[in-house]
Amino acid sequence: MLTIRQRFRLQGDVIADLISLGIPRTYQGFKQLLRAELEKKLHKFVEYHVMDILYASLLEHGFSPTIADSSDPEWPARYLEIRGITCEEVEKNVEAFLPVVEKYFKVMKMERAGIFFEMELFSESLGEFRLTFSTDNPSFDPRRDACSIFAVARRHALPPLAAKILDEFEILIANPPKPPEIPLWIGGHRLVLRNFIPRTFSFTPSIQPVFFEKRGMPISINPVWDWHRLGYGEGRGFRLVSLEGAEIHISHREHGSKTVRVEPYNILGLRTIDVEFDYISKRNKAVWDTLIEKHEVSKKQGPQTSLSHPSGCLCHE
Amino acid sequence: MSKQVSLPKALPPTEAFKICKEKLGSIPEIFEKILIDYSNLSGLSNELRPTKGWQLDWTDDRVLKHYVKRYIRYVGNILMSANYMGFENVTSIHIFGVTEDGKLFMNEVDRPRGFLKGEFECMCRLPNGTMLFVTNDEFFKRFLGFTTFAPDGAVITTSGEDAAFGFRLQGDVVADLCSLGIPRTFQHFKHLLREELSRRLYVYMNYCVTDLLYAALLEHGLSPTLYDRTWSESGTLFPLPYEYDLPERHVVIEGVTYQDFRENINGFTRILGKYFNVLRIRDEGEAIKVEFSSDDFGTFVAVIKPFGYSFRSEISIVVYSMGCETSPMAVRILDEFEKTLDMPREPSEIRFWLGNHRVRLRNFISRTIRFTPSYEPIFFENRPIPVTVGPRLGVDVANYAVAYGYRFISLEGAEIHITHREHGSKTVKVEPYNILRLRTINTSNDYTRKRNKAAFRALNEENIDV
Repeated sequence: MLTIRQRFRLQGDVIADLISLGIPRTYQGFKQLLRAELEKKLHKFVEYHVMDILYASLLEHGFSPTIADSSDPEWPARYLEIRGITCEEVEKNVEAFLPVVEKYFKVMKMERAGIFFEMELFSESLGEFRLTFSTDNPSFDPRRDACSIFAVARRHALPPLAAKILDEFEILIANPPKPPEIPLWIGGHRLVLRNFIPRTFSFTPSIQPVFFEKRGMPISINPVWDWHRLGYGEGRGFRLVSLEGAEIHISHREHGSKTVRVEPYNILGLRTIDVEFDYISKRNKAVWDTLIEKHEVSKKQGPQTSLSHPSGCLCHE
Repeated sequence: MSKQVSLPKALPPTEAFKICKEKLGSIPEIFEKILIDYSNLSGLSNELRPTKGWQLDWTDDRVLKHYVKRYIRYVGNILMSANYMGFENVTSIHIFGVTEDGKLFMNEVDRPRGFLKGEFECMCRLPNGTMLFVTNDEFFKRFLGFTTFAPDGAVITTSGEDAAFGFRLQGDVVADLCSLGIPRTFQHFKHLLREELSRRLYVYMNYCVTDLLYAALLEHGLSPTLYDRTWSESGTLFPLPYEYDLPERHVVIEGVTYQDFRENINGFTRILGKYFNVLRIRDEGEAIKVEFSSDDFGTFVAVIKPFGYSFRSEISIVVYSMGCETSPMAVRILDEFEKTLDMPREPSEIRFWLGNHRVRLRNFISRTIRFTPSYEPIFFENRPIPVTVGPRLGVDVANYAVAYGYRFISLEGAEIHITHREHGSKTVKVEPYNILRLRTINTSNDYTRKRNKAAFRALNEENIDV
């Protein structure tokens, strides 16, 4: 039976959580997973390119489009805004707008979809995608006569541009560089991780947009099984992936040193043992009381010398 | 007795243009055509003006035609100079001009309230009642936000001034320069960088010393919590000339009340005494300040305050430098930095687009460079030190902040290569060791909206023609 999650106490209060990636434990299997992860993100890259080309075409037709990004922190989607024109105007005069779109794309279909006006487009390098035109409700601001345009790529087939990027990525992962050691501290424990990589890394393809800035593609490695994935997010500390020969070297002034080997192709999360929410406060208070007690004892035994002030007390200024 | 004010005489547009030309020397001939065309608006009602008024036989630019037809309707005064013509109304001025390659352009800029400042001379009025004034080019340039045009191969410089604004490079792209205020040699620039690092080094030293304090607290059994505060959270209203400075690291101890800590401060000095020499303790009521020193890092003060607003008892400790610029660690870091500067890499070309203009900057570096010393904190994550070069002048450096677009420093052989499909290519050289900002000329708030509307109408018209 496949064990999804295992918890190991490494030393003192340091715990390692392992989550299986759910793949055969070979580099070949891992490569396939990386490829699949990239493939999932490629449509975003294609959409970014579509917007870049549309931006160029709008400029060429005398428009002054405004660039905006969505608030997605991982890969913000780019959209364009044509101020002064509403979505309804575009729809009403769509024949006039078509030269802008048809300069670089082939229009397959146009339709109204609720509050949006949509165009299904095709390009030989970018495949099939949809442009959505929308305008904010003018009742919020009567001067808000702007048409936002964003692209959504079709995901059922890989367009030639995406295939090229995928090939480039495959060449890169065929000969991966040796990952550097990752040193970190957890409380008083010094950890050195060998043959681990971060769960998210960035890949910048050589193909880049013309007008827009170069953007790397963030690739996150996730388990192939998809239930409870949220519980194992990077935000919860599951930040590293073990490779062949992965090991954790942990040392502590009191507990000494030890090395633990980690099975390859697991997601690793490091944490401390679970405590009550106010345990730290209580413990600090206890430590503080002990320190004061020790200080009182040493004061009785001999004069205080560590402070420049003769009384060893606070001086008010 | 009231003073008699007489209206200037009314002249037909050809006559009006003639007397303006006599006054100004030379004026682009196209302005005469525009003036004649504008006179056709005379006598038309407001409803008819957008459709019937302008003939627009003086331009082939369909977008411009639509713009003028739709948005230049009600004109109070016409202002003319040797190279510009402005149609002024209550809120804005539509400025016509001719580009370096002889192309007519038009921009709308916001008009300030009240009377316009400048040198005007009333020449006449047109038959439709519009007054015609002559003025100088500088009046229009001020509104458009540039001072001079930089031709191909020109060298743009601050020439002994603190700053030089508004070199129009091509179309609507404008460059502003601010001198670094140093002799223009690499040796002096290196010295400036070192000085800049030295000025900001205390932030890094505070970070390293806080790291040692954290270690001491851990070793004494406490479980401190860490918290970062950036400069924007510290209540600074205006952007600093320094981009993204290192955030301030706070060490928070939960479970100990401020009062308890205050009464037993010697417990803390014992912890601090593990790595530092405690010099003095000052109680300032709302905060306790413990001064301490280290042979390697210099002198610091730990400011202890109650932390947070909740019922939970917490205190925060922040470390500030009291003099670490000459400490052995600071000197070591500065020397290391200088060594890396001795072998500078050739700066890579910086490429970007400004509208339809492709800009390539050669021999420019980003104003903020990042230096990671070989000394690293023990517990805390390694952080590079951001070194942002600011001008050494009597100017208000906040006006030249990175946030305002002053992002690049010119080095020896700096040049801006700019290309546009219609305007062609040109290269402008930049005097070394200036801070550069690239921007576009000023336009009115809703110029983009209006121009987009005009472009869309032009497309519509093309479609109807087809």
